[in-house]
Amino acid sequence: MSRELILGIPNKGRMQKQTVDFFTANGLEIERGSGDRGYTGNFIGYDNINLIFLSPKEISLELMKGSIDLGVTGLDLVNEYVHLPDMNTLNLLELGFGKADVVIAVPVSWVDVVSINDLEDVIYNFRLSTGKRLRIATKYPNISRNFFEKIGLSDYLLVDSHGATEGAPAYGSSEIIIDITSTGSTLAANQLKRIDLGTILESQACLFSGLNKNWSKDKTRILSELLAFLGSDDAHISKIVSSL
Amino acid sequence: MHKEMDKDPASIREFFINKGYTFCNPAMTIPADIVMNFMGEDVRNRLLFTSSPGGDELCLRPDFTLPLAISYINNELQSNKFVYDGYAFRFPSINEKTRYCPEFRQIGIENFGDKNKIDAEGDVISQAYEILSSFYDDHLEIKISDISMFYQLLDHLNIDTHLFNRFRRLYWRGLSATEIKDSIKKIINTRFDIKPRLDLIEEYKNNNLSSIAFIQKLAGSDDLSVFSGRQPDDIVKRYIDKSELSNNNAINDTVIEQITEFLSIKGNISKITQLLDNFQKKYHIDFAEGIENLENRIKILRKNQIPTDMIEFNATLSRKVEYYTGLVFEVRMKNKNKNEPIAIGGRYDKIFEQLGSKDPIPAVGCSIYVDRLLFDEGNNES
Repeated sequence: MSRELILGIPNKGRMQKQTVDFFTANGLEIERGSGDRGYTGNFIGYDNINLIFLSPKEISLELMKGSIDLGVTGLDLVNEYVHLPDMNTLNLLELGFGKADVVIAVPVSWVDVVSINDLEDVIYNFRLSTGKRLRIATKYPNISRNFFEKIGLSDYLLVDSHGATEGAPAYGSSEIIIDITSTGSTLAANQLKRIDLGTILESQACLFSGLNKNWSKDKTRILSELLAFLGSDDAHISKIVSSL
Repeated sequence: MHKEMDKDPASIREFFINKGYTFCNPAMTIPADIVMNFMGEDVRNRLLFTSSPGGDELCLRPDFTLPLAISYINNELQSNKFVYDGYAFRFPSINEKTRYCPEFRQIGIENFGDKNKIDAEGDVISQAYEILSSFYDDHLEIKISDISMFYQLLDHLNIDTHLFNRFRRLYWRGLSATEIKDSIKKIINTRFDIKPRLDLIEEYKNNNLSSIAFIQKLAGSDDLSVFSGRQPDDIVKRYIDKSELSNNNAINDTVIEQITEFLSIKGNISKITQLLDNFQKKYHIDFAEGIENLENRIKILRKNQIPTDMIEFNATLSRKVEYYTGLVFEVRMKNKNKNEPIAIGGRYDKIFEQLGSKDPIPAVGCSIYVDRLLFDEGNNES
């Protein structure tokens, strides 16, 4: 068992399809155990990599725990769910799909708010005039907190939001939001806009490895072969091997 | 093994009881929204939350001042001066070396409602020093400052509220004078980011445009219903204020100079009057009250036979919570674990206002970190 790598693959939605397409395009065809409902699988013709199908969020968490060696998931989810992501995971390869930005969005009506500097001002004044902290709805509390900590701002309050975050200001459960967006059309439909310097993270699907597991010689060799197969050059591979 | 390690920290509590403080053990849990409103989102990761069976979010007390102030304002306490001794709960920050677990023992005092502010402050510092020095016979260092003098300087600089508030926040973070200078330069270089629509402003000022119409024109949309709690008038006002600032954007260098020069003021307390006096003369600001308060506190310390050669004034000393209003101080051990103060204290007259009190209630106090006091670097290196 320990001679085999475990690779987490997204188990549903567009990210699953794009991940499968990505590997297929690189000559690695995925066979899912017990048909399409199985939770395990393998690349046809390669028996040293076990595939396990998990939600992208679970993939991030399992990478941190060390129960899987590799995983395809969004950079946003690793940054959100993994404690100290740079120490616990390694980004091996950007896969070029699932591109979206984690951004701050404010009401279009706030014409005076053009950049993060304005927002700082408004957040602070909001507290002075209402006695309450400005609420930010997000499903990314950790990413949000780290961002505001860097700019030294703490006068806000995060409101947990799971789904339909863009609607939160319209129905009054928050003043602004931090959410993921690609085209910005959902933001616009909800009378929200992005602001300068308000892009917190440029996310996309990536292949990650966990750093909390013992990377044996065998496993490292299998990983090197996989990366070579996916088009990484020797310099990139040796850099990754030395970081494991 | 140091001799002082044999001492029982409970003796600190006894000391304060003998000085007339009433022992008090406040509630272990506080409604989470009150804590968040005081502490801000940046400490949320370090707090411990739980919930009541009914679903109310609660927070284990992150310190003693807040639950005591809540009990006090609810008239649940029969005294004005309290000593507490117990565990508070906060995960250690990355820089803390003296503990790994979220609970830490604090012993401290609160003096609520005493209008003789300077006397009360002098007593708190004296008593903290007296018990800590008897407990630990290493040399102690005290750093002190007065937050109100920095606020007075900001008022004196006559800057717009945006910069005023930014400077306050930088100051709260406790950065050095150089770090603050760099940040100020960055703020000034990045703040003017719009080309104002002067035509609309003109129309608005001539009363030919309502606030809503002004916003609709700027936003390029007639269908705006989401304002997120801000009044259209305020949005327009801030837009116009900002455009006028950007016309007049030369913040003169003397603002930066005065702030960094003030924050560089530090040194033994005996020399500080002179330094503050030089500053006030050079920049025509009236620090008379601040200087007098500083001198009066020192007089009380001398009267209480506290050595003052180890007291340093440092203008950058501040607190991250904004209810502090005047004195701030901290006590460190000179030769051990210098990065973490063993006691911190100060005046926080705004805490009751933030809790909704209509009348001002003065508040001064000090808290001793028992783990840090007992921490033995030699034992922990292995």
